[in-house]
Amino acid sequence: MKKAFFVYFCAILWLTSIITSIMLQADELPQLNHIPPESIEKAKSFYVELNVFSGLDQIKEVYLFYKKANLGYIQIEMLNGSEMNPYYKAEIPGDFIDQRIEYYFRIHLINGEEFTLPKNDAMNNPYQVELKPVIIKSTVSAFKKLSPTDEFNFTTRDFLVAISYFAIEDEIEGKTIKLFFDGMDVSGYATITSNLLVYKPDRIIPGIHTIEIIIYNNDGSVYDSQKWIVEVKSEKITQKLPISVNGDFYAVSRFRSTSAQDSSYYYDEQNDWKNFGRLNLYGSKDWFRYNGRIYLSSDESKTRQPVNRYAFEMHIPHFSMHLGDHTQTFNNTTINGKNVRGISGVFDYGIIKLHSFYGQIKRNIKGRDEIIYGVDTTSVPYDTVPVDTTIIEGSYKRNCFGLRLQLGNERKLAFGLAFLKVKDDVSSEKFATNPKDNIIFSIDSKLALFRQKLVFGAEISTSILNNDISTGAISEQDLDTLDVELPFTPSSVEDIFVINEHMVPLIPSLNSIAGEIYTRAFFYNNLLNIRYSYVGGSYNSLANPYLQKDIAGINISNTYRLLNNQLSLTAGYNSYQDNLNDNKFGTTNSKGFYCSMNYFPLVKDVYLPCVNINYQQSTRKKSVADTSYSEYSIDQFNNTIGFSTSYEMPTTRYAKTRFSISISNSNSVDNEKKSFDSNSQNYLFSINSNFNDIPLSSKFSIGYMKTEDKPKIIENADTDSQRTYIDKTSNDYLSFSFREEYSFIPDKLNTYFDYHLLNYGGDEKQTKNCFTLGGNHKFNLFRTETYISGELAYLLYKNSTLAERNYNQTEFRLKISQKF
Amino acid sequence: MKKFSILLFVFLLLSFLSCLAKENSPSALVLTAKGEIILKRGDNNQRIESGTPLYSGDELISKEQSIAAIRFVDSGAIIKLFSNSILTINTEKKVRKLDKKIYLEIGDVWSKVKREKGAYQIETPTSVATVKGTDFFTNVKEDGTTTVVTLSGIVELRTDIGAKTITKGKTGIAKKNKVPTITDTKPKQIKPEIKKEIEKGNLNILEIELEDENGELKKLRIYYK
Repeated sequence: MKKAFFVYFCAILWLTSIITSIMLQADELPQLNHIPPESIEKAKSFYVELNVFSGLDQIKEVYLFYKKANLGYIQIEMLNGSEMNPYYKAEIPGDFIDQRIEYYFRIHLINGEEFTLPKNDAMNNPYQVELKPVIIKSTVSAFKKLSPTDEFNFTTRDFLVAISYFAIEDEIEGKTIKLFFDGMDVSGYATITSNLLVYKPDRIIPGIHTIEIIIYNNDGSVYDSQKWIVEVKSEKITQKLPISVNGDFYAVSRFRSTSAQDSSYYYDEQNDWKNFGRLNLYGSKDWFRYNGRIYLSSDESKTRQPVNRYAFEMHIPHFSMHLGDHTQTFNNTTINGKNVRGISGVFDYGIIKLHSFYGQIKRNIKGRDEIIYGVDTTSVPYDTVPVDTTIIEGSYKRNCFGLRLQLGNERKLAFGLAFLKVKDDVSSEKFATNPKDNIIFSIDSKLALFRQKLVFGAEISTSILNNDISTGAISEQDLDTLDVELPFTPSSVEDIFVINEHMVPLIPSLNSIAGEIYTRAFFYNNLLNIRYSYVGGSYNSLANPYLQKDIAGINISNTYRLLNNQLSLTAGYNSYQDNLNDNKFGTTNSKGFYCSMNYFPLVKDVYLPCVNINYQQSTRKKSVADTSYSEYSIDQFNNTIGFSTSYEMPTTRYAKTRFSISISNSNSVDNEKKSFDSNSQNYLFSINSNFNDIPLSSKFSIGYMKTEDKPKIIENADTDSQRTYIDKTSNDYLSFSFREEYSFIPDKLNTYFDYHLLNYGGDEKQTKNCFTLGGNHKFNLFRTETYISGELAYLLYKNSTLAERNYNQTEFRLKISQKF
Repeated sequence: MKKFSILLFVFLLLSFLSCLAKENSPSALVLTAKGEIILKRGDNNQRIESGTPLYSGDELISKEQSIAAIRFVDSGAIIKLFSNSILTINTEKKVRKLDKKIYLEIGDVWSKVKREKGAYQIETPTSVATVKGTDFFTNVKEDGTTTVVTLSGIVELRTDIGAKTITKGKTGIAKKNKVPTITDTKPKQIKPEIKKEIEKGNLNILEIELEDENGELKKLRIYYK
């Protein structure tokens, strides 16, 4: 047995080691990698992870935008990574997941730049991950769990496991039956008869437990198995409150110590201690429900927008009220998933729905006058004297008021009328400039037919924005100079909107309109989405800053499902263009096409690989007729082809193992300026093994990325000798990770060791070695679940080219969570 | 011919032994047991407790303040045996179903039966109650008078003389050599302490099929009492 295990272990190592031929790319932006999972499970939280290969210190923050169907994107900030854990993480909650999810990342850099992943038109071509179809069982389950049930034997006092295999009694004669309780083989303590298995643990603690029965053939292969998750409840009588109070809280503390040379980036930040935590409360009494949430972080600072969150909401029939931080959504063009700190309410009387809110979308950040000191060389000894002042700019408090009235039934026919006003509070800050005022009107409608299988929708919004209201409303005399006639005086409406020469647009036009029409049809397992959107160059919504302006185009996607949802074929096309008002040197046309095939074989006991093949192509072209502005011409092309597969081997006596391989190839060419012509390739291979006889799971993954940019010429001179030539550049990254997890008590007491290697090639040879040792324990304190985890990590960074940048870090992370 | 006879004998013997072997499979399992309930199996008497397997032919005798919940191995029926009762379990396996014949000599039993599983009947000294998917209560008095209260579904109550169908909300009474009589169930037809025990774990399930926008059928189960 030990020999077989050893051979198996070596085989995994050997398979890992043979995967080494790979390649990929890099540019000056941080190198990030994200491979969407094959599928997500319904009602189960989806933890999105964005790996950072390089440039973590350039990243200020990362946001995850996610949505489903035709709903708008929801924005959440991802949990910041560190050198020890070079990735960003966020959770899409399980209660949101009931169908395919689309998402993309927006990365904000410290230097103010930002970009998205996927890079091209991420909002319309996001990552997509399908819902795992319901497993189709080839036969009716042979096992019946007689106990515990919802009625009997579920408490600590009388807990009893009883599994009947009465239906296959005649077929399993001579076979070996094993019972695993919380992953431990307890067959020896169970009463096993020809058609029944009974196990009574000596002691059971309240909480979640797993039961698994496996029947082995004589050759050690699995004949049949089934697993259940059961909850054991305590019998103790609790004093009931007049209203239920449930919730959870967690607190995380992270300490990092860095040892680096004084020229290193890390020298000034030798010790870094961060803490954050969240308290969530919810409960109900009859028709009343409430929910409260507090998130506190040591990153909270008066010099930046708030990170902390405080929210309380309550619901009674026909009315909901939210206090504190709440994400507000009207439609795609007005406000869509923006956090507003204030008060909001929704009256819902079936065919009439009124939604309104008031609060801050930005808070006031204090600026200041700062004195600049110089050295007075005339004095002996030299003296430091003030020589000048500079203003450190702050920001205004930005208030937002929204009102939306909806008539009709959202499931059949509904019309919405929305008004949104965003205005900076000029009195809130004296060291800030360009206070703004913004008003939006919007109309939207939706028609759903055939039990929502066919949906039509449309929305149209118009806006006016004043980019500087500090001078107040324009006088009537000055208004004449602008050649604008109004039926009222600007000062008379100043409380509603400040009218002056800084308005955009000065005169409302088609250019200050945004809208979209869409249709969705689902018939015969085919889901078709068509959306046309238009956003004028002068359309502005301060509550929706990520809405791309001056763009119009169409997005079509179609998904066809076959074989009981096991096979899905997706294709999409989008085409957008800017310069809607013909006020640019040329019009940029962006076109994209993508298609993918996903296969998830989910027939029980049939072991086939999962396969995903995808292709994506995009072009950006801009022709400038005036040759004196030809520098603005664009002709860029990008295509990516990807293939991934994973295969779970039939469960053997020793382990359950899944192999995954992912390959992608991407080409980017700048045909106009020849500034890049790069090819990048990404290879990833991983093995996950869960051993049967010992509570050990192993994960190996190896990835290699390489970017190659062909030699190019920068056309910056007339003569050949004056031109700049750039040689071929090449960068590569090798990542290797290895993780062993040992469970002393499965799902309750686990320890792990993690090793991560990142090797950067190219001009600057760098190596990162990170060792992590951690553990977590789940137990019951106060009769509810308590979770505690600790992690100690050590990072060694070596730069072979620039040795002064070498550093090492030690990090300790502690997390405690409690349910109640 | 002699060889043939020997072979036939061996075959019959093996078949007999095989049948015996099958009889050794448990028929039911004691989920919970309170008070004193004696299991009579052949010459052996023992107290049952949760987890005790029960075989066809087993007799259970419950004493004062006792109650037991028993589930059959095909998960096709669950019974609650109340105090001062004597009950014998008889089962017969038919393909993947288990036919159950309960003999209630005296006392109170509540039964919940699944329609798709094997046949289920309770025999008393005076009658036989046969059901297909129901929830009902049976009481047998010392003189053999049998009372069947149907809580849901339909029960057929048969005596030597005739049979009657008892629907939900009705009570059937069977006496020896008499046709069963049917009356409306009275509020106190079942003793309050027994009713409380019956209702304790007796959850009804309302199943609603929903179709999501992808056309997939989902089931929403609402448990209620």
